[in-house]
Amino acid sequence: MSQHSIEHLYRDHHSWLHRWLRSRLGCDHSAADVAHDTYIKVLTGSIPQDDQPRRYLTRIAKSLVIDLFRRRQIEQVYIETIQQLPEHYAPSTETQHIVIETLLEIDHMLQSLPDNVRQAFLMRKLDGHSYQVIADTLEVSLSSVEKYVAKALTACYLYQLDMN
Amino acid sequence: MSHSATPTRKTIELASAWMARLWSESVTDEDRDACKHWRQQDPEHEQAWQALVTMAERFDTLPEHASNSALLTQIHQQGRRQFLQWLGIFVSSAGLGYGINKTDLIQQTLADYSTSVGETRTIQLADGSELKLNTNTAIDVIFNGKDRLIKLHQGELFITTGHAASFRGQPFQVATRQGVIEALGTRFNVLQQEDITTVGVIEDTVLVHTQHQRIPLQAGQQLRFSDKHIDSTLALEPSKTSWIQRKLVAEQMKLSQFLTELSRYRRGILRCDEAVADLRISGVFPLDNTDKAIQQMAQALPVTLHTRTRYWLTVVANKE
Repeated sequence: MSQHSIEHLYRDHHSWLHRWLRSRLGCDHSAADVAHDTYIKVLTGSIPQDDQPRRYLTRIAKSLVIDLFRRRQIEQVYIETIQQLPEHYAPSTETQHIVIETLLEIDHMLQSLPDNVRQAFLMRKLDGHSYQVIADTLEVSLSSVEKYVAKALTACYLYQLDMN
Repeated sequence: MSHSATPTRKTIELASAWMARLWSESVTDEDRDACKHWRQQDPEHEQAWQALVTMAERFDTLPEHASNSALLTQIHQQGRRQFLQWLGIFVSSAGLGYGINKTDLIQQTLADYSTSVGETRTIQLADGSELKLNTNTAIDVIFNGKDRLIKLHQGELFITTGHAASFRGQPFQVATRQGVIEALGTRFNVLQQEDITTVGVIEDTVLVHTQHQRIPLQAGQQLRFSDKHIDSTLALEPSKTSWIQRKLVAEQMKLSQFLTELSRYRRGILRCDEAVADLRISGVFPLDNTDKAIQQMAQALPVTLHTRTRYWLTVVANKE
């Protein structure tokens, strides 16, 4: 998109987008952030354009709203987790930040998968459970567990492909 | 090893199947040899394999305290309800489906419709319901298999509920900032102003849920309520729904109120001097041509129009 048309897009629709987001998020600060990020996405040109500017902007903004929600959720659950750790195990702020980013990425990679598939993969990869334990937990056959894990691996691979 | 092309979907799936085999506690030496053989068959196989290994290593970077499936599962299952609540959308007590799929959420949860100033729009929903959006209105439509919820962010909405068989048993609700209006098979109108919601019922009954009360409203009745106060139920004024015919119906309406009503349908400032604010006007005025409506009013009352700019119109008393 040309510099000129981005200026137009900003001038004509930025305050509208900000209001649109505020009415949904109920928070002026988050609305301003998401509106800002929306224009960053426009600038990087990663989203196919639309002849209707507001539809184009809301499509990007909606996806960012959901990302923001996931991030908040992950932060909240992770903070609760580390609060239960003994004090001398408490990870540094930097580690916390890296972990949250990694969890967010994993969540993204697996989000389109059915619950059983995601669960089987995480139990194998993060908990280190055997296929037998997973099969018993999910009440499915051993061969299903192997299929689930394969399916999740493919999804992660394709996700990374999309990202690069 | 060639990096020139992306492996095909089929190759990626095969590489995934091999990795899943090798991760099994019952993996045999024959499996390992067969996997190695597969990788050597074609550079594309090896490329897919290496990419998969690199991807899987991402998961090993998590420190032990975070390498826990319960953590991610917990986040996942909090799901849609929390998302809706986070968006400030009222969620009824009936359970909402778990599972949060981004594409679904974008399409369903945030399916939104809006009109600009002066515009109206009619929308047909999947359950057969019809929504008419008045000027300057924004809504979200949330159909999730259990509830049918319209979130009215601003403006005015006329609803004729649909009865498609596959939606039977799913409550139809309109949420405003002040409460929730539950339709019991019906036609009704909802107006969201700054701090006030006004509901008018044309047919059948609706149930208005405010923070502390549940008020049934019958056909021919209207109710105004804010967070702090609920007015008494009144007879429905015809002017409340005449917007659907693109008309403003005034019966002994104060000029100030007439102008406030009209300004919902036009951009810019429309006001009057205090001296004429209490003049009364009656008649039927076109909403899709507010200039004409203002001219008609000016002919009926002893007033003059002062236009400062195109967007700033003041109504003053006629000079003696």
